[in-house]
Amino acid sequence: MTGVTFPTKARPLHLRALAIFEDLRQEWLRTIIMVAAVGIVGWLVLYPLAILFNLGLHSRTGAFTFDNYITVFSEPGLVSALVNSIVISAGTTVASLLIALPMAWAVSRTTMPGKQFIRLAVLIAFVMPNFITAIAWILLAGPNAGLLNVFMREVFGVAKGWSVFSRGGLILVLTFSFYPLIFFASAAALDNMDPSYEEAAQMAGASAWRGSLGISLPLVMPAIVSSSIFVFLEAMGAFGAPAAIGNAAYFHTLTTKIYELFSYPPRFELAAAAATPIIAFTVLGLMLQRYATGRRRFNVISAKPKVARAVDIGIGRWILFAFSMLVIFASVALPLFVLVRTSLLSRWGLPFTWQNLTFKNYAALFDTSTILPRAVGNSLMVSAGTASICVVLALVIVWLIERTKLPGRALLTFICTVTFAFPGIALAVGFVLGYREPPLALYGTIWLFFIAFTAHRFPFAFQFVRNGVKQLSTELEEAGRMSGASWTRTLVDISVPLLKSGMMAAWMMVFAVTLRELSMAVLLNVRGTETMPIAIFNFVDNGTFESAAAVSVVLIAMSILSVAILRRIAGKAQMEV
Amino acid sequence: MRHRLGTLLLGILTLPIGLTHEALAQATVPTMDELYQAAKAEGAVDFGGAVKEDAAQELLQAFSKKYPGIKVSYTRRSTEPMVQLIEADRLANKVSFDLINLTEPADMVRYKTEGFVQPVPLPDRDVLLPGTYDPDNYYYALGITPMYGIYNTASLKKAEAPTSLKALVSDPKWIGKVAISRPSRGGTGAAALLNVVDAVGVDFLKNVKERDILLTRGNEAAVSSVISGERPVSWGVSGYRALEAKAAGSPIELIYWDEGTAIAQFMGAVPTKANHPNAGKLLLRWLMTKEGQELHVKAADFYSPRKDVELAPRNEPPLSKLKINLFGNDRLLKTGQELSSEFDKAVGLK
Amino acid sequence: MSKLEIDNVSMSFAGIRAVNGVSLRVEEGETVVLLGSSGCGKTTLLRLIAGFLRPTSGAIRVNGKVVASEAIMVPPERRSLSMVFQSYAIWPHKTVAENLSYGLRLRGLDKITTAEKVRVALATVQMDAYADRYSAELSGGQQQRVALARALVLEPEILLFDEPLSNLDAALREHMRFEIKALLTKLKITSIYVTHDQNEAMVVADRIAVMNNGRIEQVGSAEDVYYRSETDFVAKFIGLANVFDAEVLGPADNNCIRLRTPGLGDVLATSGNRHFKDGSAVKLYIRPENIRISPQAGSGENHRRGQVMRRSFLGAQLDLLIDVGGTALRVVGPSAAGERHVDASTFLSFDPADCLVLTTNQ
Repeated sequence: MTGVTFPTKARPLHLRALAIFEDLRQEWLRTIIMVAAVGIVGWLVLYPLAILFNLGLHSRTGAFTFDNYITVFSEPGLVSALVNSIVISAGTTVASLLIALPMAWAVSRTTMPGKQFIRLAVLIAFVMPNFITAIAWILLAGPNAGLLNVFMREVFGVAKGWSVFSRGGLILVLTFSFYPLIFFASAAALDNMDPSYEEAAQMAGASAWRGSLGISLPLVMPAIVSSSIFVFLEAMGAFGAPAAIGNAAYFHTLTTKIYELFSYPPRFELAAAAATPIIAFTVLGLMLQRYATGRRRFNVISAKPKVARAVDIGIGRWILFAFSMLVIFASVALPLFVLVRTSLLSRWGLPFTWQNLTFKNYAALFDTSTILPRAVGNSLMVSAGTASICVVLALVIVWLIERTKLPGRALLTFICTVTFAFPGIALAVGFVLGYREPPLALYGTIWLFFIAFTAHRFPFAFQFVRNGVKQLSTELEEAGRMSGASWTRTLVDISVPLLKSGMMAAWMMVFAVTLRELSMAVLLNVRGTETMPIAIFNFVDNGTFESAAAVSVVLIAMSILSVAILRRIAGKAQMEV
Repeated sequence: MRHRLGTLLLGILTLPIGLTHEALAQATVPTMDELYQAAKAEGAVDFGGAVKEDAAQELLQAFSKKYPGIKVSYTRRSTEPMVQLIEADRLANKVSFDLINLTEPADMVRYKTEGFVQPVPLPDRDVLLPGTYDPDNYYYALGITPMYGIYNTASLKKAEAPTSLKALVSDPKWIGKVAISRPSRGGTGAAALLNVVDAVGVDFLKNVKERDILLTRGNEAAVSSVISGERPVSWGVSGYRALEAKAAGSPIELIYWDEGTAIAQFMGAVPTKANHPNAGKLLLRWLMTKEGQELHVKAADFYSPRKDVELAPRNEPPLSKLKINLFGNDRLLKTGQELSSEFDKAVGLK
Repeated sequence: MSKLEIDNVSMSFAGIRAVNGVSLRVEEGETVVLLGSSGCGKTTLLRLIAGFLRPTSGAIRVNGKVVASEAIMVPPERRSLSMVFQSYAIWPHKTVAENLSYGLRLRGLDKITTAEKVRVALATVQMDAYADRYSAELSGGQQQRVALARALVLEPEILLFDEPLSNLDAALREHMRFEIKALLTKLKITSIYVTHDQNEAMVVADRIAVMNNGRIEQVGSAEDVYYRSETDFVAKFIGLANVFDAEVLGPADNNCIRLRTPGLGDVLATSGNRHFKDGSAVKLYIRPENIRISPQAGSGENHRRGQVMRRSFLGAQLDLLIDVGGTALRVVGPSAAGERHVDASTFLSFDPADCLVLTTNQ
């Protein structure tokens, strides 16, 4: 715009106020919905965080103090734990990129065989709780008794195998848990990409390979960057796998360090102080994302989608196929194999022979004298509810951020993202404290799970819906208004149907991560509000891995089933996850 | 709100100190029948502890039979998650349990000083082994268990298995062969470590990192590591878990150390603000009777702190035949914690 | 009362005035084109009319009723307008017929009436055979027609066009502008049409509003803005012009004035009934097609001799660059006017009536 800048002439205050009021009155339903959504999200996120800050700023006797922060930051090992967390999260991000990008490109843009199978398999990797992946990998790559190391020793005579009890081992487990995030984000972006860019590159003489890789990947860079930040932050906030592997390998991550502050004796105020720096990483991530995606234009869902022609990469398709299969074998098949195998044994550790096989571990899921049927019910209800609440809230908030010029949108974006990497266990303290007294005495009820999980997982829905809205041309919505539909009608009749695939993807992601959520549930659950991960955790704690494995298999099956149902409802073409 | 929590904490801290001794001197111990009537009026009892689920159910069924009309429930957590659960409850000003059961002496002592648990005088306290109860009656060991060494029978023949702690922590052949529950994560692990230090001297901690000991989260994971063969030996795991695993057919065998085997205690106490305090007291006192203890031994694979219960779990020798090292809570609390902390420092976890 | 009244409307984004004190009246049945290069504020003005933006100051009235002012903001759906979008914005999840019927159903029309209106609207744009198609199954031109039909079917008070043809290929664009013009003439719909293409503007418009820097420079018929440009911007923006700095020497006969230019010497130009002070600095504009070339020297005012520097054959026309005593003149004439080759000597002349003079600003 080659406009002339004027010093903004201040309009009389009462006129401005009148104008704003008139806007609000004219679109009163929109105003109510938006105020409600912002209020709910603000409350969900800021209230527990405020409690944690407050907790971190007071001594045990209630006096205001900075001592907790001083204690935490002078605590020996905190700095090294932080360094470990950064190194491991960075390693996980890089490894995830190396794994996920070729697979996503191959699945989206090439003639590689087995694409649908690979998409489904990667989803399984995603829904597997990372503490389960960790246990599976301990059974697979324990230095002495890990199945892989035994195999290597007995067949190839490799004396000293690779140990999962190491930083590398932790990176491996986290990578196998989180690479699907990059895979799905980049595959979806590539699917939506205008293929003419690639064709142009080919016209310019690039080979099909080079053209597609060299042109497509930079074009979907915003998706790659934002999902990489996701992986980094998820790895920062992960607890299950670091706890299972870190101790054994004599190192701490920030989350295991924070966890230690919760016990012997519990020092919640220190834990609160220790958790707050993670917010800095979230802010950094947001800034990075903004920098990386700020100037690029997103692909727009136009009225006429172009069907991308798959790139024929000759022998390369088999190389990529083999690579994808190897990744899936390691990240899905092996852990799943270990889980299923264990779940069928009458007692884990027994040899896998006929007389040791049983279905009793699965039968227990229907045994009403145990917590299991209730846990399954709770898990389904909480996950589906949380996913639904998150998606609806995200739709309104994203609209507000992407489609209006209201001041404070950057702040709102921050609020919508801040809980992402926040360690669940620390956040849970805020919820326990914040919801213990009337009128908010929800601690001990299942309702607090909805509230806490929504607050913790909202960023997922927010990001996915936001990507969808960014790709949606505003004119489609404006056409609705011009046809005479109110804002609300347009949202329901035009935006929602067009954003279906993005919203479904968001719903799935939140459902899957909530289904496996453990770190918050550990503090929030009381008798009667157990979820499946809690049941798994208890079984592991109890040493009955066979039961833990059976519940895990069912949890994974439920995730797959829900994806299948969603696909059926949405129509295959609409679902790219 | 934080302020209110603070005053609450202060109140709790100051209250019991004045009460402790005089209150006890004057307190008359109610009969079981009086307690039962009061408990029946409360109608329910919620037990939370580390005892295995099926064992706890067995015990509670027997209790229900003897004292009908009280609805029983049980929530199982090992000590670390149990303490978290209790602490979350406390943050929320709630009490979930009428009887709690923990292995961590530090937490029990803290709960006593903070007034979170209340004294429950026993009429026949004299029959208990010294050191297995709080002199002020705030907590009692519901069961005691040896921290057996265990080894994997598939990896080691009986003759190859270690018998001396000294050899285990100094002989190079055991480097990279030992798994234990990380001592700073619970009282049982600390007791086992204390036992090792008593046997071989504190200097071994200096080079403990080179021993390449696998540290697990909790006893069960240590037992699991030995069962899977990941590490063929442990210097001490909770006995009841080892016995249960062995009985279930897992390839492990117990080791009674030449230097003596540590004893860990599983302490029970009744929270001051329990929802059903009388029912909690009734359950605790019944569990501490000879009848309750014999059942506890049979169901939960524990030894009994009662001198008049000769019964041993799973046909193991009676306690009197074993070379055991029973540490009082004071020593466990002070030295045990210090050593655990030293251990963490030595391996780089602190 | 005009159909649409825009009254001193301004709109700023972050301190930048995208629309700066614009006033405009549009009469019933009239088509006004907002013409300007990108960033001139034409789209912003259209969106202000549509109701997607709120003016920072000023007022907009439809049928005399205020729809936007400092105190009033009627939302787009209650302004009885409709719009044809640049991207067509055909909803991809609805069929063509559903796209059209959506707005009608919202207005509470029953199914039968709706179907009939949709049929008529589709027939108007010759798309009746495509009622059950989805947008992905239509070509760009077909989508354009659907978008038009969707806007027409609502029988709006004012129809808004936002660069509706810019996504079409050249041939189709050429064709569609006549079709749209015919339709607008036939239906007598009041419309505001935004484009950056002056040919399109000239075809479609009853009046053209040329915009620059957030302001309307001139409003008038195509002939007005072309022949009687009122500002330097309009003169340069519409068509091509050879521009010269000049000084007014004094009045001459036939409503003319005499100018002195550094490059072309003395030139006789029409004053267009305006008064120019002697000695004042002005600008002289001569359109390339208004310069006649001939092999023979002519006599009288405004005759020059030159040499062809560049010659481009454009089919019907010849585009020449001619050096007149060191000054380059662009000349466009019919190809039949004569075979000129580079370096050839030629004579040219221009009618004083075709010489536009504007006062230099500042």
